[in-house]
Amino acid sequence: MKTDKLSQIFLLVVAAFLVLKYVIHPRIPSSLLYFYMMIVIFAVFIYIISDTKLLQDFLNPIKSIIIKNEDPLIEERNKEARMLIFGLLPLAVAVFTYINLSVGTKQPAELRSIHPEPPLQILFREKPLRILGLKNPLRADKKNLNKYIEEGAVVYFENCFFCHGDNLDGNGHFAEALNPRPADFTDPGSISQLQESYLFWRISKGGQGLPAEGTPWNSAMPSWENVLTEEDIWKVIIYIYESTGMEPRRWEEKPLNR
Amino acid sequence: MGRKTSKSIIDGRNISIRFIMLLTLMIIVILLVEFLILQSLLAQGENLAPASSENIEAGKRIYMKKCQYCHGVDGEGDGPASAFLDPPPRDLTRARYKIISTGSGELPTDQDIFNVISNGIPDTSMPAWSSLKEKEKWQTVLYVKTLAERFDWYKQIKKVPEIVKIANPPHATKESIERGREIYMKKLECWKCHGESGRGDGPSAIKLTDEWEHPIKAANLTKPWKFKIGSAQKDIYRTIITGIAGTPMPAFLTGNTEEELWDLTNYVTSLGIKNRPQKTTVLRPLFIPGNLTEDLEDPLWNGIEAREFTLFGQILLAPKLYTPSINEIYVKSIYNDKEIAFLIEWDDANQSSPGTTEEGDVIYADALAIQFPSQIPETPESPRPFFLMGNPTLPVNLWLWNSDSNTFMEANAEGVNRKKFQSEKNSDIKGKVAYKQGQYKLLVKRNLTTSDKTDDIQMEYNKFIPIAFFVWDGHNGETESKMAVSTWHYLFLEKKETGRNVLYSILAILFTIIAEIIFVKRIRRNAISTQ
Repeated sequence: MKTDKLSQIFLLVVAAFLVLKYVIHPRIPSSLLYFYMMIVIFAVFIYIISDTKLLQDFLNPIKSIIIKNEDPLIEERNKEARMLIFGLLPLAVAVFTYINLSVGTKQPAELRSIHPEPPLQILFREKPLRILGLKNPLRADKKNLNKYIEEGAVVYFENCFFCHGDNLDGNGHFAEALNPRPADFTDPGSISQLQESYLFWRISKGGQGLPAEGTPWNSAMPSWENVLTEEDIWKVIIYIYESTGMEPRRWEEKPLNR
Repeated sequence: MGRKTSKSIIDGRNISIRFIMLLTLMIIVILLVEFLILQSLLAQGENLAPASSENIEAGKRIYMKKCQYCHGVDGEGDGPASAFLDPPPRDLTRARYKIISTGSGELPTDQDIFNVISNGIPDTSMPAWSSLKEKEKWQTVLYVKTLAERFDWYKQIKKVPEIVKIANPPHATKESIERGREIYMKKLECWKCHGESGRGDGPSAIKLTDEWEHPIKAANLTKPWKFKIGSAQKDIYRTIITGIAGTPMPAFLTGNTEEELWDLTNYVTSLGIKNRPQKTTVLRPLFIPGNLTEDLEDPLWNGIEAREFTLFGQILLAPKLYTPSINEIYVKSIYNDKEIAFLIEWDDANQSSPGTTEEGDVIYADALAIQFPSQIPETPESPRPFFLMGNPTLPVNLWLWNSDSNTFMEANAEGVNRKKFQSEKNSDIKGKVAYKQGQYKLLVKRNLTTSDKTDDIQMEYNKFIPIAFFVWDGHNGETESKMAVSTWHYLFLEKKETGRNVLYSILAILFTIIAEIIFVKRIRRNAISTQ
């Protein structure tokens, strides 16, 4: 198999695109796909210029077409190729521009931050609670942990599972109707990245309590502070971690003293 | 890092070939894994767990972790979540199962129970138990069977429930469907529960209860994707001949020939919506050059694709609605230079007018609302009103209809309990509603812009306008905050800006040509200078 560097690189980029677009599940959103492709092309570019010989190999097919060849026969063929490539390229760019300008059918990108910075302190039913450094108080009571898990499960199935689902994967029977979809607690990027106090904040304040980074505030997460007690919330948090087998992120050993 | 050392190892060509090979290998592996997963899902797998006491014990542990919160500690269908579910979780102690491959009122096979655990049940809160491994599901099957004595008894008398054999379905000819219709309407009178158009709105449907005295709905035959028993021809046929245990659906095997039963199957299949409307996040009305129709039955609507908007129960604020009866609406929309019109269709088995039933249940009006923000947010990222009727800083504009007064009204809200109707003379919307055979059709129309710029949404072209829907079914106790809701979606009125787009495209051509010239000149100059 003897193909030149240029087509090899081209094939590589196409292969990467196909893998990203069709092989990976769940489907990557198109905006992210563009971003990944840019990284791929950038990486390939760096790979090419990392070696002079490689760069020459890569550029040679291009040069051989552009530079005037002394052999009139080859030059004739190159001329045709040049006309074709340099004629079609601007046209392709124009078509691409036009299509992208005409209004897309896609939902506009909502660049909301999934896990915005929590406040230092919240008011829980008018009681100030310092979120920073806050630990789940029920965890200290190791004797009763199983009881808390059990009670947390009941809280979960009376309040949460409609959206977050029996499997805690965000696939409850209301989930289909929600945009953004309910949080998937089994996702490694979800609760294992967060301290328990973060969950406490999100559960008690819900979608309406999101800070500015969370705009446009589409979340349908209710604010639970007037429905559940402080203890209920800590219990359900224990249940969520227990049931998914995740570990909460810990606070640094020496909490910041401010 | 010297180039010399790396050269022998990283020979350019080799490495990229290796890279491509690796990539291909990766693709193959990923495809293979996916294939295997699919296989295991489809497998009519053998029971991975023999009925040993260890396996039953293991099944019990899983049951107590996963199932009891709906089905109850003892399997009586009375777990903590059961109060909030419709249909209610199955009482497993009676061994009356709906989705079975065996005869009328028979016990299910192990495979039947396994299938339900694996696939879940459509249109209920029984999920596909993706968090359980194959073996764990079989262990759960074993434990679930211990909850009902009938399984034991069958074992004692050595009875094995027989799987119903179903021949290959005959072709669904027009004549067969027509004969099936006769059976549906006259011979077996299926319409009395399932309704003339199959929307579960028959006159007998309203008082149906199951074996546990829970109210139960007649299946809406126009939405086959919601059939709990499956929507394949064989599934429908099996259900017709065996009925559904524990429900008012009888078995029709006796008194009908096989041909008649297949005719009926074909007719039921023909009632299903042919193309289920697609869901969308962006609703794009169609531009109509002339006047917008005010006729619900205008043939123009047939040519417009409907979009599905899925609804969920309002469970954010008390009083809550856990079990909405309307789970989706279908929306079509058109606009011209002046106006916009929406045609909304939804199935509701009963047309409600406020009052009380003989049993003393309160009936409210049926109602629908379209919600917009009072002002379009500047960009899609800008803050928008809370999807549940807004908030004090960001109010919403509501277009409301209810079956009581059968009028269209506009309102503004800053929260669920902070709704204010606009005075009648300020109202700019008008519309029409028809109810027929279990289905509402509602047409509402308004000018794109109005004089009340603070309270009324002013439609603009080429902007993502948030839109949401609320529906109330008066027969389901739905009123005020007890409603089915959608989250925000977008409405997008497209206005083509051809001139601008052509200009930018021409600029793109120019820039590309300039870039090309520079590129070619440079390469040629370099080539000359290196010679």
